Amino acid sequence: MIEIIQTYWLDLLIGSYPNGPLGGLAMTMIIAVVSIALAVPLGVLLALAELSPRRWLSLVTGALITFVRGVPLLMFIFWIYFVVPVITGISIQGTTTLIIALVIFESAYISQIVKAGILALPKGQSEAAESLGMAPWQINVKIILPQAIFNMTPSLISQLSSAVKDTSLGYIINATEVTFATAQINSILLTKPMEVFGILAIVFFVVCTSLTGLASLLEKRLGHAQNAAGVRAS
Amino acid sequence: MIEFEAVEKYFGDRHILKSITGSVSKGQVVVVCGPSGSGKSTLIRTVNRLESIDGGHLRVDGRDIHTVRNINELRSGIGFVFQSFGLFPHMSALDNVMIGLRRVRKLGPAEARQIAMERLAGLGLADKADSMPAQLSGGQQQRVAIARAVSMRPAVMLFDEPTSALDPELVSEVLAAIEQLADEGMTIICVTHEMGFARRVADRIWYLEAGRLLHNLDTEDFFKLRQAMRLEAASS
Repeated sequence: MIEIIQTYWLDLLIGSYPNGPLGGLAMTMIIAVVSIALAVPLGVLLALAELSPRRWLSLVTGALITFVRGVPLLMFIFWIYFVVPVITGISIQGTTTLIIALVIFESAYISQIVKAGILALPKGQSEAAESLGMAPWQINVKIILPQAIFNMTPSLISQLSSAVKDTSLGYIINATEVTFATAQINSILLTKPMEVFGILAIVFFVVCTSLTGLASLLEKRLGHAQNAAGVRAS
Repeated sequence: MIEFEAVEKYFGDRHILKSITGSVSKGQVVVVCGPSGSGKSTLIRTVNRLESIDGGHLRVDGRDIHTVRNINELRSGIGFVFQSFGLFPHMSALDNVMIGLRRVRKLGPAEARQIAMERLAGLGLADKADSMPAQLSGGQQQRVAIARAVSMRPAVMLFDEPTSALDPELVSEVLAAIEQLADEGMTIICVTHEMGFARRVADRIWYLEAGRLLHNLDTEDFFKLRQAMRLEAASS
């Protein structure tokens, strides 16, 4: 196992770069981080739309979110990779496909995190802002979202951890991430699947457990801060 | 200045406000009192439309606030102080006071800061400007909330049980701040159980019971009536 890591660590880390596309763990992390970075603003918009007093907007958004949460990520990958080119004539490369699918998928989950964060705030917060004469969008941008997102940071980090794991599905459509790199090493060595995929398991475990560890550490800190200071949120 | 005309309010089947009629003139201080559940808070919350009304009219400065188009503009001229303070916990005391001036009044940062600092200083909070709400006592938080509302130069200030969430030893500093406003000639409606304060500061007392405005009396008359009722209750 050590020997495999010594020989192929660079492939695991960055794939065949610079001779080929960037891959490996670096690409996995880039895909996950970029996806979540794009999914957070989208999730915020979805949450606001679902909580909107406009009934039609709330219903349509709610239905959309329920649909996305009701089907597996792999389905979005297939649709974008195989179906979109048939309809539009434009074929989308594996890594891009994976990012688009993750953004759609994660934004639905993040919208529920943000929604919970908004609903957890005391009603007095928006009433106080309304009493000052602030417009609804100002109240969201200045008062509600900063608190809701801050309080939900631990959950958002956990979501990043699950996005890291989900990137492994990119293997199916040749997205050059760490699972793809590992599979290539496996087909070079042929006789060492246990060691090779053992390494992959360890890599995912270390990365994801660190992230969830960080999330629960933050959770505790936030909890302490809140206990020590009533409703303090900064 | 503020006119209630047969105002009705329901929460589902419950009839909360029953044909409330009364008016508050400029510079007047009205204390609203009555048993819990009598509709005091609901009454005061209808004035800036935190609660809608189901019948009648409610006019502020001649404008029917339940049909007015730009509610935000109207609200910005009505100061509201909550029982639970309603400070924004992610902002310093100064930023809490500045946000309305910046975002609603559209003042520049320097001007907003100056007004906010003056208001905080006027309420004895100059050294707390950079503190976060959580670092302040309840009394200090409520005074920041008062500074925030007053900084908007409202035509009227509404107080919804401003001292009910405070430890007893912190009540007087908040009442003093309200009294100071009353002395400056501010129009005030204040829901409170602090009858000593009411007697000192109020021009009129509105006594609510089960959603009805049972008494609307000059302060002196109200306390005479109250004493008479007590004597009657004691002798029967």
